[in-house]
Amino acid sequence: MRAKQAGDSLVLLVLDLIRIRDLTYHFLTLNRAAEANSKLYLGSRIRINRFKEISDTFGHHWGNRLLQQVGVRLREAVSRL
Amino acid sequence: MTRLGSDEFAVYLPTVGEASGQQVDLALSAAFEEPFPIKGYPLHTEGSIGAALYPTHGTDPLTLLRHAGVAMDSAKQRHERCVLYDAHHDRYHPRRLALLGDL
Repeated sequence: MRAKQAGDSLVLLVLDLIRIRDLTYHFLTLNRAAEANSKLYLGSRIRINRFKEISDTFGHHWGNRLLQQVGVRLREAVSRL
Repeated sequence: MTRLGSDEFAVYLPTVGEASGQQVDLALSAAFEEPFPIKGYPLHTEGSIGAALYPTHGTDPLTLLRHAGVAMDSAKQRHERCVLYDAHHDRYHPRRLALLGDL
């Protein structure tokens, strides 16, 4: 039981590290672009109310579609600035 | 876009240009105004957005993300859709922690 809990914690830690690696890679790419254009850019954190409930009710495919739509709207909003 | 928790996500958006903080707030707040079409249903959902600007509010990804998290918590507490990071409202800002230590 203890070994399983340790294994689960290790899996969560690895997933966290992968997320941080992906974010860092994305950040560095944008960092180079920002320096090249001398422009600011935005880092944001978003809490979408009831996201888990929506994803569980309609299915993960539609949860992902919702995220894609949120992403498109944010990108469009920023591009209009 | 990267998932951080069950309903929490991180997004980096390029080319904000020279817009003011208020303009950024207003623009991002509008993202949740219209419903999202999900499986043919117009789905209304609310979101709390915390934003931090590079390089003003952080020059590395984790600092930027932490500051955006502080702003997101402010947005939720103040019942606003979007809040831009402000060091004066950061309970964990080193200056504030040093002041508390002095007290």
